[in-house]
Amino acid sequence: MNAKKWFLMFISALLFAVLCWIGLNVAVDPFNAFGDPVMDWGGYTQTLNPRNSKVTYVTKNFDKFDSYVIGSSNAASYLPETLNKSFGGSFYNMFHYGSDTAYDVKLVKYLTENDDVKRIFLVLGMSEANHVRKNSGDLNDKENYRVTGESPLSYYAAFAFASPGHAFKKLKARSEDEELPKKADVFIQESGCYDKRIRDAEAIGTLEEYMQLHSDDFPAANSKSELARIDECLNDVAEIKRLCDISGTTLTVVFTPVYIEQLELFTDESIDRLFSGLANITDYRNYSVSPISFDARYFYDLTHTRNATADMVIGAEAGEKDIYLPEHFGYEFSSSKIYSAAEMKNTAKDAICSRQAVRVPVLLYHNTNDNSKQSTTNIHSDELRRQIKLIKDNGYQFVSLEDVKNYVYRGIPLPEYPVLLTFDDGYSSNYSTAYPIIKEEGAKATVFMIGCSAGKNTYKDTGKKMIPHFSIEEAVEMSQSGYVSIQSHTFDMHQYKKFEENTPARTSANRFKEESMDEYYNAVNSDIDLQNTLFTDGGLDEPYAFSFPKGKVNKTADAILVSRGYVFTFSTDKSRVNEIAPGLGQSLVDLGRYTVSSNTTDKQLLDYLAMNG
Amino acid sequence: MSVNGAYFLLFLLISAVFYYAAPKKIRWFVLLCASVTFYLLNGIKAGLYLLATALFTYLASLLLGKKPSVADGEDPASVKKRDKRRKRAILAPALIINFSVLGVLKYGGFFVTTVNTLIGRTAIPLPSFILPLGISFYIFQTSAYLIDTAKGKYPPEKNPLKYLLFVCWFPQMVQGPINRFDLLSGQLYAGSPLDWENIRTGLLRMIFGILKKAAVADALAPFVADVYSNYQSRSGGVILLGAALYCLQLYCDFSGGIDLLCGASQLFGIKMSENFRQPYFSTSLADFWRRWHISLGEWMKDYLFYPIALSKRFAKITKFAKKHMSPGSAKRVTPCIATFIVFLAVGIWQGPGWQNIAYGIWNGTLMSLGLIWAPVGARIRKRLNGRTAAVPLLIWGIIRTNVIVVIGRYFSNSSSLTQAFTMLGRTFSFAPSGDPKYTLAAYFDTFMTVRLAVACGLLIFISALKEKGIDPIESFCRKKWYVQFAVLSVCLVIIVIGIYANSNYVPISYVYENV
Repeated sequence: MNAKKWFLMFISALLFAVLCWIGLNVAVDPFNAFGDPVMDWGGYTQTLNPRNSKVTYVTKNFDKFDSYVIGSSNAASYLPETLNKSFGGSFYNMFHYGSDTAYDVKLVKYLTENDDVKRIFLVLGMSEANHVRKNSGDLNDKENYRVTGESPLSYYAAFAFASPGHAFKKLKARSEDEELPKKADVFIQESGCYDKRIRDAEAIGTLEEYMQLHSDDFPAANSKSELARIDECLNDVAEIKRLCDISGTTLTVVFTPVYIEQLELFTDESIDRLFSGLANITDYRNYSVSPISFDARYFYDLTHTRNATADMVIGAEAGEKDIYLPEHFGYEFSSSKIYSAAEMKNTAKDAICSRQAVRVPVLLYHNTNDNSKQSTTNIHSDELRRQIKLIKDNGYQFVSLEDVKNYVYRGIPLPEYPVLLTFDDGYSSNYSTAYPIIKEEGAKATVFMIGCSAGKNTYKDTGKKMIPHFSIEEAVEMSQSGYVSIQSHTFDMHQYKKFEENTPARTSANRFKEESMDEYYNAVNSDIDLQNTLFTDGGLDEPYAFSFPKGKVNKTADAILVSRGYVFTFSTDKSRVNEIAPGLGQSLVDLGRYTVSSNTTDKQLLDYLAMNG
Repeated sequence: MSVNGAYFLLFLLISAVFYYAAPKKIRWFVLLCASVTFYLLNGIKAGLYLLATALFTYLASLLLGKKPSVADGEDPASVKKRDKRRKRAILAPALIINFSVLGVLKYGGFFVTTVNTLIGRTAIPLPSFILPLGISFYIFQTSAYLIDTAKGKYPPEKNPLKYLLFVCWFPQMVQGPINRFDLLSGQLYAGSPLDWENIRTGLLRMIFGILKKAAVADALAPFVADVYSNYQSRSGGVILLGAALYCLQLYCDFSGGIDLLCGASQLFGIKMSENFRQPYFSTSLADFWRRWHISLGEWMKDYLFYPIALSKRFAKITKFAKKHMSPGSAKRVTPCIATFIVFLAVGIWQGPGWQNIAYGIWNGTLMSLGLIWAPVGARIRKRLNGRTAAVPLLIWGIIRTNVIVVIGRYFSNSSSLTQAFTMLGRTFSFAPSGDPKYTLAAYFDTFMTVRLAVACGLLIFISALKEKGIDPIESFCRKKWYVQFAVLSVCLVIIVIGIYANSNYVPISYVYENV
């Protein structure tokens, strides 16, 4: 081959290299410009560039969605799942990083012109009226050409010729990806919301504890300024209304709950101007100020509400009756009725002052066998009965898990001094000895049974003798009586090392050091599955409460349990104050318990109850 | 404009198109425009310094190359003598001025700091001079030109613009090689026609150079830089590894850059001097200095070593030595001194700092001792010759030489003499690590290690071919077209995706770019 032909071959090889570059970017598609054809990893692409990735995704799936949540990260916690239940239809959450109502107008225009949109759910916060997120010009801020009107050629070229570093980063993230959300992958593609499985399952106790843990996220306002772009924001909302009117789309506008220190950054005058200006454009409900604005536990930080908080807003908007709603939650604004910020703040402050914290102490027993010696894990029946009477005589009332659940989720009040009675492991003596006493004394109790030990007096298949456990039939009888709730102490994650054939023995629900996160995730899930099968096959409802073996609590297990529908998890932390916040399911996570042993004095018992009272 | 970036490639393409499109007579002028543009893009102030040197040496060379005026009846010998005196009167100050520019700009700060340290206070304020691109190379190149024209090796170039092209030909400005006028100028002014073989060789050489720098040198740089900055807490073993890998980094960086720029020059049909010849295959330090930075070594040999060694003063020293020692030993005295001086100069050339002078002393001492040892070594080799000792001797020579070279790098890459000695001390005392968080794995994960192993394997293979006298480029071009296409595709995929399109890859400037 002569040198000239060689040069042509060189040019071909160079073109091939350039094609490989483009091919890499199209196939890996870190920003979802090309539909992410190979990896289909919306969680990653939306984390990197939510504006672009979400538009590409919904455009491909217009047939699946007919309603949209519009807003900045203020709107992140408005879950399509809740919205679909309350409003019907099929929602997608289009929220993007950083407020930008001008972009929201373009987005609504695109959606209403290209999809048959039933409802636009517009979520506004203080930031919409105060600033616009600066576009860095990088690819992770680049907006979709369908919304901006940019030429498709220049849009696709920008992504086709992107630095391969982005593609390599995505491939690396894929190799390190785990089931539970990691920093590079925080979105759920199918809903457009954050994957909050971990934060939805974080234990929340008293407000003081929460503020100590998250003090950096709730800084006190130290100066006041005017909201910087009220008029632009109002003009944009007016335009969104006009677009919805043209396309026959219902527009629901809400002002999302705001933490008080975020509100205090702005003057009351400018806030009032915003609120009243908005009322002149459209009727809306204003949830910005309510008693929960003074309770940081309902927020992640100054501007972001928890999913549970947004669920309350949705419930209130849809007029749901059987849910918990704070007092004075959602002021109806219209052109003929407005409220001032000062008025709303004062009302909320008064409501807070008259509030009383609800705390639930939890007692833990194990074996109740009169034929064995009393010990740290065995109490005789007469002692149990005496303690139950003592507790009642001191003004406490036994409540069930259902009662506590109803308080949190439906706002049904608990007695002034509630107490939960629990038994771990599921010993036969609980059925033969404790259950009759509970019935006779009119108490309520919860028993956490180890699934694989049900009905056995030998350890699994080994034939080694162990304390007998009650059977499923006996469990069903107790459950049907209405006095005892049967819940889970794992199916087989409370192994006894000496008898156990498996190594390492799983003596608690903690992850082994050598176990990968995904292996652990699968292990916990299959344990939950086995327990569910045991319960349902036996005629019991699936458990929704869980007590950690050996009291060894871990966050990952909590996240998995809550995502699988568990409502309660329990530890053995006797120093924990179990403050229950209405509306916040997280206050039922990692509840502490006092382990009653044969050495427990009455004073100790009553002191514990008082601490939690 | 960095030669590592895509803009440089675009610059080459545009320059080449204009070059070959232009009529033959003005092609050299296209090269001049390209070179001036390239240099000015690196700084206008630097350009002025370069222009000043070019103008000064141009004028001086004209004076030096002037034919002597012969008075009627004058004896040719006396004409020659007079001319020699005249030339010396011009050459000496011209060289002093030329080197002074380098001296002040490059060493001014070091000189002032040293004086201030000796006095004990800041008596002289620290100057801040810019260092024009390639000054350490073009000063030497123009000085060689002055000496050559004084000797009458070739007539001086009359066209000032053509001469300027010789001085600022852009591929040589970043880090040499130090080209010779008689070898380079003809090619620069010839306006050679388009020869696709030049394009082929040039492109392949550029690809090789780009990959050497990116795949090896820049990959090793973070580890080496960390060792040399945090030497006080790195273990002795890690410091040794750092110095050894620095040798590899420096070779791939320097020779990679030379390959890129020689390849670029070849695109225009212009071959520059070679600078490297598989230096880590050297069997002695003397052999090493004939294979490493060849153009500097040749310059030192032709313009420093021989003039000193053959000078009258040194002849007197030899005569004196013969009176006090055996003739064989006496013969070696002046070469030893001259060698020492040359390597001291090489050390000083590396840059300001006592550690560089120490580097020069290290090499100079060993080279001089090597000269003294030479006859003894020859006798030993003769006795062992023919037996199976040939290969072990070779291996011993290579290992010994590389150890000496690695030790030298303790000095040349340190920022102070104290640092160099501390590092040596920690190495030889097997000092433990002072930083429990430091791990080698942080710098050499699986991907990096595999990458480096493959790259080094290929490098050794290609170097071995060259050592055997096989031209790897020629050999490659004889392979089947689909083999060539496959190899080219892989190389270009790595170059496009891993280097030029990749915003995560930030090329480090060449080690010798700022010398």
